[in-house]
Amino acid sequence: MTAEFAFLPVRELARKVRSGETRPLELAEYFLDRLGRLGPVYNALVTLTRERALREAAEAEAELRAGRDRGLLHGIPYGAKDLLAAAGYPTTWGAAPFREQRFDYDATVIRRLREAGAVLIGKLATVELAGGMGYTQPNAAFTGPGKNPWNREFWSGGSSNGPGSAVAAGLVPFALGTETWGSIITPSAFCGVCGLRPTYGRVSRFGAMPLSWSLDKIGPMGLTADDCGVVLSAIAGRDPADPTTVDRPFRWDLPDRTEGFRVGVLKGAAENAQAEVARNFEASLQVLGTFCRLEEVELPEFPFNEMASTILFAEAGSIFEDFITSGRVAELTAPEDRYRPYGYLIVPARDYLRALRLRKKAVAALNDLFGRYDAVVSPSRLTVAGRVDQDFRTYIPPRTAGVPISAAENVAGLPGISVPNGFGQNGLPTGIQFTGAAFAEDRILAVAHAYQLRTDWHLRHPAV
Amino acid sequence: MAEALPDPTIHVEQRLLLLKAAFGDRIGPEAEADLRARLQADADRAVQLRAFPLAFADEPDVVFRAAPDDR
Repeated sequence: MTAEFAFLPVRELARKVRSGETRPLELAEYFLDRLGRLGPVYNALVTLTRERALREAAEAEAELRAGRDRGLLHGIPYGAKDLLAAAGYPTTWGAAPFREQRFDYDATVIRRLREAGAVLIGKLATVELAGGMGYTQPNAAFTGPGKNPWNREFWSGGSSNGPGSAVAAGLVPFALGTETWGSIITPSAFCGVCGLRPTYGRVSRFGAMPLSWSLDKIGPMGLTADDCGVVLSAIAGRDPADPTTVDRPFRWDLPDRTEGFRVGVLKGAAENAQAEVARNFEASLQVLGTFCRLEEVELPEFPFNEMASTILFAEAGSIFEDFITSGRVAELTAPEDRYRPYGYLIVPARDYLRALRLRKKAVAALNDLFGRYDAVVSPSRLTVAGRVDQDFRTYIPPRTAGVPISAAENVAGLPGISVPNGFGQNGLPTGIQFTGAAFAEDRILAVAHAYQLRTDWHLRHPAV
Repeated sequence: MAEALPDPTIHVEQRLLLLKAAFGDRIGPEAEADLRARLQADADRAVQLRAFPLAFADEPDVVFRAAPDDR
């Protein structure tokens, strides 16, 4: 092949399709080859969906020839985290006991992308059961530890490690990830890509593995904030199959406004960060200061980490009760995942309900605060990725050590986007997160996009 | 009003005994030590959750429906 399509954003690929510089089938073949060849190098690939991809690409091509254009994603290949059901292929949840699991339907997000003309080329790796069983090191999936395209001796983050690696290495133009507590933002930051966690209720979870029904979200991971907005436009919206979804239409267009934003800077957010992470965050604030009004903001006082943990453990314990009590957890890859879930079975109901009662007050306080700003910024993660054989507890500060933004935003279901903002130890990427009030994805995307107009971190790619 | 709890460490050992009674053959010594630490963290969380006052009227944000939406 002579053409080079890796690392091109969605709008550029769409332009090439419409100008006749390429065709959906050529794009599908190109990325199938690339994902099939390089995906295993990063432990990023579970299943190549070749037949489906070629069928969808042929349909997309025929439609374009017939004058039917479904929009920017028409004919664009993508990968989906293997928590999402896709008819005709295994949906393994990254877990050995579910390697042969199949569903005869598509998750709503997969269906919506198909309706938008996108082409599914692969199911991408995930930490087993979305990391919900308590893993403490990267080797926690039958696909092996996710390897970082910037340096394969380091982790790609979790639990959406496959999407993170595949986007970073240019194996797919974009991917779908999921987040219960950090699983989009972390691999996005560690791999130097953009990852958008939508508001809870914005995107249907039907057909996705449930880990915690009141915390789970599905969102896009891509090369740019703009790409994430384009994909979110396609997957957002009310779905009768998921009663938590809301009827709030979302449409992302490149915004006219690229300055004059009001941005909150989370007080203490860089405390406990690695020096390079703190330095890059400070440099990002310098850039933001040239086109935004910056104000320091402080999280309201709530036990966010305690609420998130209690809710997650109680809900995961219920969802996986039969799996845990049957002893099948012993078939999981990570040794700690084989016994830690037993503790989930005995979370007192009154603790869970107390966390839910507090959550309602926290949601009100957080939306009141975040609603005053176009975005509130913080480092996406306090460190760069550790080594693939390194226990998290040796380099990631305990959740109680810093400002609990990750717990707060997930407990409250708030949207956030991580975009790359530099490099830290071992030449690994760092990220900055823009968090917003509920259903304010357009505002955080606009600020993140404006930031990327003034920086080039998202244009740097690893040698693969 | 914040709710007082008995010494949380009492809960830790009771809960560990419960788990060992139900699943003891699957929980080795190393796992037991880790589970004890996890249960202690759970107990500490329970205390933290109660450090924030709630009123009688503070209900969780879940809505019970007496009939499905489509009825």
